[in-house]
Amino acid sequence: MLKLMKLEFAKLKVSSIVRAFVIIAASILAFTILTGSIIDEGERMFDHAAQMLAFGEILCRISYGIFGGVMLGNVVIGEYKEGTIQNLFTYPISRKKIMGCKLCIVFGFTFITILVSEIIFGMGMFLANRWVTIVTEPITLMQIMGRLPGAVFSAGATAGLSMIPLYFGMRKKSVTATIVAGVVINSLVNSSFGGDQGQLSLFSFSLVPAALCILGLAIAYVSYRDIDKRDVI
Amino acid sequence: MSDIIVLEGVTKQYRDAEVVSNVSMHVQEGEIYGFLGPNGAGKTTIMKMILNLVKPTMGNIRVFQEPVLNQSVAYLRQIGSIIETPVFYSRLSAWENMKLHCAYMGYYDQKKMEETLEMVGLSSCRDKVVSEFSLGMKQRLGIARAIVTRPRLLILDEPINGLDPMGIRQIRELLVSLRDNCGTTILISSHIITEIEQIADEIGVLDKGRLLREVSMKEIRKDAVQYIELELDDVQKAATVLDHRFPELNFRVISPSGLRVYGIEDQTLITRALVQENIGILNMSCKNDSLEDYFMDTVIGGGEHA
Repeated sequence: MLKLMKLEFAKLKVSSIVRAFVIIAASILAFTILTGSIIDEGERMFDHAAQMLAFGEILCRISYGIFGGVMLGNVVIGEYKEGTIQNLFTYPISRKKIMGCKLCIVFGFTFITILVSEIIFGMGMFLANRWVTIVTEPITLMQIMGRLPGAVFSAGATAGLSMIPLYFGMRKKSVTATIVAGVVINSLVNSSFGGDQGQLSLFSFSLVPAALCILGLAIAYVSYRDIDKRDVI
Repeated sequence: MSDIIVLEGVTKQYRDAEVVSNVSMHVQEGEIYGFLGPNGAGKTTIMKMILNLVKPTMGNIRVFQEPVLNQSVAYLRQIGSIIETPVFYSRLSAWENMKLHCAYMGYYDQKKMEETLEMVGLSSCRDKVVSEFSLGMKQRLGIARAIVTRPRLLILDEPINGLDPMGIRQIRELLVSLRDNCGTTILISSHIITEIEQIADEIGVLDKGRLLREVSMKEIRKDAVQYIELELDDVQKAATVLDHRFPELNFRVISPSGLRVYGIEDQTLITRALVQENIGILNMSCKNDSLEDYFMDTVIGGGEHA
């Protein structure tokens, strides 16, 4: 399986992916620092650290959730569209192993990038707050560590729901459809409403991301389950 | 000689059409089997079924004496193939594509990889990105990819598509040498009958999903009608003379200046007779019915002989 993953990575342009990750993470940090340090009529953007960290979490989830959709497009749908999947299935390797490996890579990639970026964000804001006041109270490392379990859950849920675009992509064999579906799903789930009482989004209700995660994993499983019984189109 | 590929009553039905109908065929070890048929005859579908890319609606397929089932993958290690137009990872170079292919096949002989690229004339382009390749170059790379692991069985769907005459000849010689030196079994389909004629040992003629005829080239060549084609200055007179002198002779006037004489062993009898009657012979040649004629007869003849 590990060898198969190595071969999958050989097909991807890893340097571009790493570069994109860094640019997104840096942009999220920069954006938060810039907007957070503005004082508008005596009011700051963030009242307290928890709010700021939650804001960062949302941005990370959306960005890397969409990135997950892009990876799905490249790693899975792209091979169907180009026709290279036909060649891949003439190798003496079980189709289930090949597809399983691809789906694991996409899920793992989305999960890890969200988690790592949230940690980077937390650390980044911790350091930034010492130089540029974003929240009046000092941020403690304990606060950041305390968000870790929640971050793991949200990363896992987003990684799961980022598999939903697989359904749309496989139907049309279109990378564009996959990415658009990824954008729509991630934006919808994380978009907030109810401004006055506090930022709320569909994601806030734990049941929603959990259910969507299960849906995404189910879609991935269905693509995987009968793959050796179907004709390769 | 054992059968490398056996199809028994194989049928493939799609929603609206039966693309392959009850095909039974055998490909023996170490032979080149040519698949002939018009577009849409089902050649590619049969090849895909052998490779387990498409599942038959009915019938059995055995490759290397083992049945091909949903989970069969091990046998693919011994097969190299080109199906339709070969596709590659276009961002990667020819060499990287080859390396990837070999890694998936579990093959690690770098020297053979270099040799193979040389055999198909792509050594100079090994580091060129495939997106910059022409159709002919991609076809050559496809052939290289199919043969690099020196597989026991080659399944080639129109391998000379897009190649120049030099390339066609190179590939023809390559395939014959693989059969003769490595004992490779080759299943090849082509529209270009003259090419199949030159290298195939056995022919399968397909039309509308049915296998009309399966016959060895040896038999075709033996049964191929030999005839003499004569270009004369007075065909009518010649016809009268031949009718008179050789009442049993089978001949036919084919044009205002041409005559065909079938089944004659000694052509000097004819030429002497014509010269004696002062009929001018402008041109004379001995011909065989080609595979093309055989194919046309079998397919256009409606396949009644199947």
